Parts: sequence; C-alpha cells; structure tokens
Amino acid sequence: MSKLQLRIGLIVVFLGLSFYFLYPTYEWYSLPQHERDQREKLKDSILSKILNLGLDLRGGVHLILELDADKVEKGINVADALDRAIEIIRNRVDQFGVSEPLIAKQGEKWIVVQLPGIKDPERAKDLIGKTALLEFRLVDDSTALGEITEKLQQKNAKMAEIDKYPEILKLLPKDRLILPGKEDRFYVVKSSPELTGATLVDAKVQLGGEFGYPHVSLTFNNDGAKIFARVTEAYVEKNLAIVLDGVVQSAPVIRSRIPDGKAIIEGNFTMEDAKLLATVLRAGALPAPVRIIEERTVGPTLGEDSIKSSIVAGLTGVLLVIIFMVVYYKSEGLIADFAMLLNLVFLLGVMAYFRFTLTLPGIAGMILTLGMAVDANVLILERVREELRAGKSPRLSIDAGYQKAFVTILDSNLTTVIAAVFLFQFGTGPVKGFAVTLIIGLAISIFTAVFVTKTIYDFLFQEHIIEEIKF
Amino acid sequence: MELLKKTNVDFVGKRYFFYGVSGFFILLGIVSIILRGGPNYGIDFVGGLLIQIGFDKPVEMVALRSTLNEAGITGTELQSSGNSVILRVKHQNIDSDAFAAKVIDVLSQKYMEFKPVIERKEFVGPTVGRHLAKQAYLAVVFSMLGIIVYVAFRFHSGLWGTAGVVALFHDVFITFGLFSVLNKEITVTVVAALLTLAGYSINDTIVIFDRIRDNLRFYTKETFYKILNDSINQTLSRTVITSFTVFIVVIGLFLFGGEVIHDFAFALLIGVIIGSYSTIFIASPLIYEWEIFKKKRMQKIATLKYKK
Repeated sequence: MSKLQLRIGLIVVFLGLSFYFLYPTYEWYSLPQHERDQREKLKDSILSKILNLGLDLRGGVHLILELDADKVEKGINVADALDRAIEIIRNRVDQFGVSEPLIAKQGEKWIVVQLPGIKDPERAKDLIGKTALLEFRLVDDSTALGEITEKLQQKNAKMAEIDKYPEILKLLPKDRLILPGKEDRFYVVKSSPELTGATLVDAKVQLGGEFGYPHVSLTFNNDGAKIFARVTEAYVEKNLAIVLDGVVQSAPVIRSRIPDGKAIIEGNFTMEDAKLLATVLRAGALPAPVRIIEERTVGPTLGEDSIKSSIVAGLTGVLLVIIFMVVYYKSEGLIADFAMLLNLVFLLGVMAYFRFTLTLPGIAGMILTLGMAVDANVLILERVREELRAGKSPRLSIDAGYQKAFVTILDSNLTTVIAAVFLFQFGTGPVKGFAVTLIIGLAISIFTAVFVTKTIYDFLFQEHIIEEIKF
Repeated sequence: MELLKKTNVDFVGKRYFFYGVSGFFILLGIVSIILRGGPNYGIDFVGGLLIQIGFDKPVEMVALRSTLNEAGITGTELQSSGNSVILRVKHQNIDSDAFAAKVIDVLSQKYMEFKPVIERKEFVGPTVGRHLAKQAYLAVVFSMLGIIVYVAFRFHSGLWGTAGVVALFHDVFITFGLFSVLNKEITVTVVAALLTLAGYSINDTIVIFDRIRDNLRFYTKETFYKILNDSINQTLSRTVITSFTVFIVVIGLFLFGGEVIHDFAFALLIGVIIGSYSTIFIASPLIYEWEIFKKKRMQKIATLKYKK
C-alpha cells in the first residue's frame, strides 16, 4: 500500500468510527419522546452511548451545597462528615430515580449536585437539602406551655419570638425544649430524644388511617425496637412527639407497649410529600444541615430552545462560510468546505465516544472551531496563491503552501489552546464544556484542515484529476 | 477570485492616526467604567439571583414592571428577551426560593392567560461569587502568562512578544470597555469569550511578525519602514479573509444563538474585528517605534563614545 492509500485509509477509518459512535445518538433522537422517557426510567444501556448534553441543554438542576461545619457532631471531623453527607445524598438521589446524576465533593465543605432532566426542581431540592434528622421525644405534660403562652399573650408576642423574652423563657422547666409543630402550634418536649432515626431500617409510604391519607410507616432494627418497646411501656398514655428536622410532625398518645419496632408518621401528607419523606428517611440523616449556596436551574423548554437556536446559528454560520469559500476559492474552497464538514463529524464522534459533556457555550466553541478550521485553509490557500505567483508549478505550490502555512496554523491554534486549557482548569460547568470542545475542535481542525485536504490534493494530482489551480 | 489585489498602503505612516483611534476607544472604556462605578459584573461574581420567566406570548414590559412594583418586588433589573423576561437581583444574599415563588405567584395571578413558567433560575451566594471571581481571575492571569511565554519563545525576542501582547491586551480591554459602554454584564461565559479572543487575536499578529522576520532576512537592503509596510500588505488579504470566515460564523451565533449566549457571541464578534485591526494598525507599528527607539539610543551611545 502506498503512503497515499494509507492516508486515505486512515481518514476513512476515522470517518467510519465517528459515524459508528454517533449512531446511538441518532437512534435515540429518532425515538418518540414517550419512548425516550420510558427508556430513561429503565436506565437503558443506550444512554451511556449517546452524546452527553449539559444541564443547560437538556434542562436540570445544578446545586452547590455547603455543609454547616459548626453543626457537625463533636468528635467527627468535617471531612468525614462531608463524605458521609455525599453518600447519603447519593443514596437519596438514586432512590428518587434520576438518570446520571453527579454528586461530588468540591473544596473542603462543598458538595456539587447535578441532576439532569429533572422536571420538578423544587422537589429535588427538598430531597437533597433535608437533613432528615428523625427524633422521638416525650411531650412534657406539665402546665409550662400554657403558662408561657399566657405570658406571651399578655405581651402581645408570638411564640416564635420567645427568645426575645428571657424572663418568660425561664418558665420552661429544665431539660425541656419548645419545638414548632407542622401546623400552627408548639410543643414542649424533653431535650434529650428517646430514640433517633439512626436505628431505622425501613420507611414506607402507606395509605390508611381514618381518612385514607398517605402516611409513612417506620421499621426499626432490633436495638431500636428494644428501646422503642421500653419507652412505650414506660410512658403509656403520654404523648410521644415525632420530630423531623426540629419540627414536630405529629405527637400521638402511646396506647400500649409497642414491641415490634414499628411506628407511623402521620400529618397531612400528599402522596408526593410522603414518598419524599420515606426516601430521605430510608437514606438516613445528613450529619449536619446543608445550605444551597449556588443553584442553576434550566427548564426543559429553555434547554430545547437553546439546542434549536444554536443549531440555527451554527447552520447559518457554516452555510455562509461554505458559500463564501466556494465563491472565493472555487473548487479549492469546496475541498476546504469538505474538510470542515469532516471536522464537524469527527468532533461530534469524539465527543460521543469519550462522553464529554456538550454545553451551550460548547456548541458555540464547536462553531468557532469550524470557522477557525476554514481559517487554516485560507492560510494555506493564500500561501499557495503567493507560490503560484512566484512562478512555481501547481503541484509544488501546493506542497510549499502547506509546508509554509503549517507553522502558522500550529501557532494560531496553540495560542487559543493555551487559553482554553486554563479555562478548563478554572472554569465550571458550561465554561468547562466550552474549553473541552475548543481544545478537541482545534486539534481535529489541524488534522482535517491540513492532513485531510493535503491528502485530497495529493490524490487529485496523482490521478491527474486536476493539473492546475485556479482561484 | 481575489478580493484584495496587491495593495500598497502606507500603514506605518498613518500610525499616529490609529494610535489616536485606539486611544479613544480605550479612554471611552475607562470613562464608562468610572462613570458606572466599576465594571458591570454579573451575579456569577457578585452574588445574587436571576430568574427567567417565559410567557407564551410577548408581555408589555412597563405593565409588568408596575405589577411587580405593586406587589413590593422592587430593586430588580428587568430585561425582556423575546417571550421571556429576565429578573436580576444583585449583591444580595436573598432567600432565592421564597423570592422566586413570590414572583411567579404575582405573575401567575396577573398574567394567567400568558402561562408564566420559570425557564431558568440562577442563584449565586456571596461565597460562591467570590470563589468564581477568584477562579476567573486565575484563569485570566495564567492564560495571559501562558500566551506571553509562548509568544516570547516563538519570537526569541521579548520585545516582539511584548508588542504582540500589548496588542492582545488592547483587544481584550477595548472589548471589556465596550461591554461597559453598552452596559452589558461581565459573566463567567463572557470571561471565557474574552480569553478565547485573547488566544485568537495573538495569532494574526504572529503571522505578520513571521512575515516581517522573513522579509528582514531576504531584503536586507530595504529600510525597516518599507519592510514593515510590505509585510502588512502581503498578508493583508489573508488577515482580512481569515477574520472574515471566523466573523461570519460568529455573526450566526450572535444573531440566532439565543439569549443565553448572546453576550458571549458579542464578545467574540467585537474581538475578531478588533483583533485584526490591532494586528495591522497597532502591533506592527509598535515594533517600528521600538526599532526607532533602539536606533536612536545606539546613535546616542555612538556619539557619546565618539565624544570620549
């Protein structure tokens, strides 16, 4: 095989591979929407082969959570607490059924969470942000609550403002706390919980009770069941408050000893609320509260619009360039155009194969590299023109043009790559996507604009298809 | 076809005019930034909240603003874009969920038949804002350093490298300044665009410098002045066309790319134009200035020696 055949073979192989890597994406997007939704739920294996779209294109939620380091239990270091929190959040997200979530540590106390394609961002935030600290506390049956309420009423103050009145707060017996309830009421409870969610093994949604409302049923492990049995035995006829994240969900009266470690959380839940609660309880409590310090939510329609508009934008630009090149350089322009389209296919193929994320600025970067790929051909052709003018033969002019322009092309691409590398290093999300596409795009553009077009010329000359070059 | 036949323009001779033009734009940017009390940084850097609300038909902005004001939602920047409206609250660490809920609540009541939905929401807390600002700063510093090192290495001359980098800063700064003049926001993506144009702008300069160096080698008898002009003229067609091909793809992005990347495309668009301009009218004349300066100094040294 001659060198030229080898080069042509290489290009054909790359082209074949690119189409092969892109086929699943084509297959996926030719499916009807409902079928895609269904397969997404089933976590179809095709999902790991299609072009990976960023949150800004497919819609979804990006969050950065900050772990409240001050509230981590003493004796546990913050790094461990963060790892534990990530594990629990991952657990919750998995149970919630999000395809391809990203949950990762960032810095010392930040957690990045990305949930692509989420339709209901508010619920997703509830799911992730809830500490889910479950406690069972005995309700104080003294007259303290009544006295405090009365004193506050005299001062025309609300219970929530009690911290402003230390003299009233003194009425609270030792080892007691005031906690708000789900509805507009307050409870005085023992400050040390009888039992926590740590011994919980299962939480399920059930329908039942008087009105058939959804409630969450809990199952404890052996240790938990023993404690629960002891508590319920000792405090029959008293109220036991079920407290979630410092809010009393309900405070049922203990009717009799409960030996099997089973309990129920009631409280006007909707089905969705109950499911969410069961999910977070099953996954366990976060070691400390987390706070959302960054949120970027893109609705699915905006994502679709972005894809559409960037395709229109890309096509417009690319078409204009194609036309310009043909008008300006005739058949030589056509060869450059062909190389540019090849560049697009290769770039998408590489993106699909390595599962790099395609973001909106990434698409812009892609379009930009197409422009710059043509740029390289302009450099070459202008150089060829000069060589022709200097009286060289067409064949030699082409060779010299490529040779002389190559250093320049390398230069121009390298300086852009330098900027892109640091953007990748320090950028986040969409900008990182931009940097990746730019770097790969520039690398491929050197290949297509130089290697591919040169191969085409060599082939055309060898086969005597062209003998001269006219611009 | 050939757009620019053999040209013979005296670029170097007109350099003071173009120094003036550049000076004017740089000054314009500086004045604008001072008058506006600093660059208009987006919520990415200063923290705050952005909500984009989509309607199914266009909404009258004045009415919308007063609806929001009546509901006690004030201090927001409003911007309309097609069928959607963008609200921005900056420099504040507000409860983003409550705020967004209130806005959508108010609008749902008043504009029920327009079906308002939250299309995009971006909340950046102050710590994250500071973090992003620091990251952007590092990206800028390191990529500029990277480019300077590369250019210095490529030309084996700190001086030519410096001229290229001055032209590059010139391009980035004028674009940055125009953002202030037009009161556009500097966001993370805009910084990315600025860095990209920095990388792109230097390459035109490298091409001309290469040509100058080649010509210096071949035409040893010509004056430096003429060689500079010839080099610019020889590469002119190339400079214009390469910029033009990039320009037309970017203009596609700018016109049809949608709201989210509009400013990004704008930065690139301006950058491509200024990048070519500075290559021709600023970078090469700067080398000339330097060579003259060097020659004068040499003469001075020579005369000093002679006096001794």
